[in-house]
Amino acid sequence: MKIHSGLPVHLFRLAALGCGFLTIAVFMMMLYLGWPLLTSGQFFVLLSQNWLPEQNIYGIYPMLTGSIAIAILSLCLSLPISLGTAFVAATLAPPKFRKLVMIMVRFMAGIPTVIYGFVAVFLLVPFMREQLAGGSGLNILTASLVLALLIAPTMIVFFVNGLGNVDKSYCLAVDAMGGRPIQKLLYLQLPQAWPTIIAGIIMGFGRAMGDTLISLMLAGNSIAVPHSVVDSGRTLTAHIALVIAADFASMEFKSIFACGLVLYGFSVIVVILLRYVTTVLLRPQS
Amino acid sequence: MQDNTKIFTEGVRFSYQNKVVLEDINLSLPENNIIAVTGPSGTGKSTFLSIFNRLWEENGGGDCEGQVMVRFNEKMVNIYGTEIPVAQLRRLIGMVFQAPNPLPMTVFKNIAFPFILQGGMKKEEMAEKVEIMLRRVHLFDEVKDRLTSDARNLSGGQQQRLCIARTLISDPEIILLDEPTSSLDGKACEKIEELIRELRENCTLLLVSHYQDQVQRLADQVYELENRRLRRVS
Repeated sequence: MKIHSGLPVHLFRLAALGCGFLTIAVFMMMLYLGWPLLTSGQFFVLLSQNWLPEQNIYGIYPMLTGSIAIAILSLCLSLPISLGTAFVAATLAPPKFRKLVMIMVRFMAGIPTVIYGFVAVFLLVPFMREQLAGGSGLNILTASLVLALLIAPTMIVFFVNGLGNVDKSYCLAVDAMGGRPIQKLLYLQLPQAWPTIIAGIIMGFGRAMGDTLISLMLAGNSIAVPHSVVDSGRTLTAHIALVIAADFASMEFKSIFACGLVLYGFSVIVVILLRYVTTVLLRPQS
Repeated sequence: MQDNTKIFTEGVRFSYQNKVVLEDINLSLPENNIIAVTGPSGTGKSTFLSIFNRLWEENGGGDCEGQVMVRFNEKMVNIYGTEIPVAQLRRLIGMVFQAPNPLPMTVFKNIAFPFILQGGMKKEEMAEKVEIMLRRVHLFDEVKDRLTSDARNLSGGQQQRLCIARTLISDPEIILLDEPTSSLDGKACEKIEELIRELRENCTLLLVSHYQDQVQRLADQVYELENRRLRRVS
């Protein structure tokens, strides 16, 4: 069958345009539905208030703090593990072992989120309940621990790519001078790869902030503002999934859009930061 | 084996991913000589050099058999044995590559890098040695005001002399030169050749080059690599 040479190009362009259009459409829809909230100033009121439906107060402040707490804690837990694994997979281990590590990391990335949540409910939550935190075992720390595991593959892949993309001639020069793998990593690869490492951290944080299922299953979904890592909490994403409001004009319904707008704004910031890091900081030097 | 033998190999065979690249390499090379290896592209000249500093091991997939001995402190040492660690071996057998490969750091740090790797040296002492080395490669006057600027901004010839200075600062006994002038213009090439001649006083140099005229100008012994074997030409 003869295919017109321009046809695939047109099809790919159409696909790219479609993706761009959908992204804009989602934003426009969020803006359209959230517009009354923004113009009336209610949006900022919702951001600062607690969730007290019995008093007709539908603030999302506890969910905002819950999301940020879980995202930061999971990032803090995941970063050392991800960096360590990336160092081993990029430089420190023998070539065969490096390949094996990367196979495992990619396999980890392919496991559905619900499996992580499911395993944690049966293994981590009882441990948390009986040995560590008491209560139901469903808290910020439990969710963060599992989320740390979930975001690790994303960050490891970023880090390994960054470390592996360091010019081979530099690596060869260090090897020829008698540099040990750890010295090569510390003196050459890390200083060269740091913009990619920053990009990986931003990406991991974005994933942690946007995850729904783990926080829904493991964070406890309390509507109170968490004051410690063993407190129960609710994230913005879990809140969207949990609120059932049929009255489109109610503040309860509008609060979902406030959550959506916050998450959308956060995504935009992540994308801008990623673009900045990958284009400005990764620009080849003279 | 004579008293002045620096490098001795016997029955060396190198294969990469089960394909034989070099075989039956038997050499006895005297010290303070320039030994040139010529041959068509892709015959394994660079691989031959990498046998002596074990650099091929960094890529994986290679296998080296046979005996490779080097004289260090009046004693012949099997470089694939346990007598000498690889890091120390590579400090004693320096290497200059085909294309200049300054590291992405300042001129000063580039030359001092072997000391940074070894650790334990004071900055003043380091600075002194860097200056001596820059003078030795006739680069000091050209870069004395640019020691803190990125070494990659130097010209090709300056970069290659910087790489030679970086190799020399470890005080190597053998220097492996893998077509060190192939990416340089005539004038830069002349300077490097002059430097190579000077280095012979303290080092044994293994030079890979495909420029016959350069080999004739510099080398004390010439070998040709053909059909995986080395053959002495002159």
